Amino acid sequence: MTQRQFFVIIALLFALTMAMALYVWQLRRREWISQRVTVSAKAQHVAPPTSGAKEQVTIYVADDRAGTLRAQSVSVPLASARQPRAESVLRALINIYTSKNSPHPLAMGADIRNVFLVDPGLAVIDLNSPFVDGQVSGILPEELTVASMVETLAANIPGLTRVKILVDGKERSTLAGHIDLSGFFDVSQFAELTKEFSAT
Amino acid sequence: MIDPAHGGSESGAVLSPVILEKDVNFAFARRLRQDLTSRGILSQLTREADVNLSTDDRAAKANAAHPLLYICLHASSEGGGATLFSAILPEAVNNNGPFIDWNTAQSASLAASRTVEQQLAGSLQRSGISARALMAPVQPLNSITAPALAIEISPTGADVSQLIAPEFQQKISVALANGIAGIIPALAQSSGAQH
Repeated sequence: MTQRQFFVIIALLFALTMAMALYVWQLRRREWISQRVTVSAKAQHVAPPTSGAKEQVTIYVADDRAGTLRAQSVSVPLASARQPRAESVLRALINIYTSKNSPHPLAMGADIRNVFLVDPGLAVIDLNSPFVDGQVSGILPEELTVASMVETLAANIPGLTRVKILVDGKERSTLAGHIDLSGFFDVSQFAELTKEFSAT
Repeated sequence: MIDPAHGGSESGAVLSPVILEKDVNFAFARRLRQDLTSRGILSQLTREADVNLSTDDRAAKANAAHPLLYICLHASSEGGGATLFSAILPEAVNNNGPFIDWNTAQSASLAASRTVEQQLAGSLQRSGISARALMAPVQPLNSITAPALAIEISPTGADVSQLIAPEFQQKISVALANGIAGIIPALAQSSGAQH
């Protein structure tokens, strides 16, 4: 082999190595972009269902700084059945909490998995993990979250007397280290509490 | 009985990357104990170090000591001063037999808890501290057999480092100690009458 042939082979091998490195880099980049799109899709705002006519409903919105709970009227597409109706009003509330400059911020991706209405008068709210992972820890901020959900449901689902909260379909001891989720929330007790929160 | 909430591996709220709720609670509890001692009121902490203690253990410890008053201390980034909480009990059960239901043991003392709550909120307000009296389903209040409150302190603005400022803690601690000193005689009388 002449010296010239040797250099040509080395140059070809070097070019091949560079081409392979470029190919691997592009594969990794595609995978990374694909992962980002998936995460972004998971973390996007929860949109209310578009089926059903829009109705004015009352939701109770918490404000962490003021430590208050205020009734607010919003227009939401609602189904006639009670269960999807309950989910829609809670999603309208969560949309406010996950929006920019929220008075009571929750993490993007916070959502309810299901609301089960069990007669007589029991609602079971099943939250997802991002909801509790992004909840501000403290008695007051956690209680504002629970009170706003209980009051919002009670205002829109007649006959509700008790509410139970699950996370990912399972019992959980506290919402974020403070408010006890092991029992049932009595709607009449929370109505009293809402008066105290509204009076401030 | 003063109960600094959380501890050990259970840090409570992460108020900032360097401020954990368990540490704020513990420092504030020791300060309150000191202020009570200087007023001739004997007090005890449920934990003397950074250790894990379940809410049931805390209730058991408090109930065994038969205190005139149980105060569980918390700290949060939200609230703007001090928020006092009395228990929200589940549906009433019959606690008239020899055994008391663990989850509603507070029922016999709930009225006294709410009176104390209003009085301490008043004491804090008179000292220029924003204070509110609410109720909350927070453990271990339901299992305490004495008048029981949870008190959550929070910064007046967005700066959570205020929670570890000695002047801030001192102001709240002194107001609470003064309030407690004012109600202890009535609690002692009420407790004596019960026994």
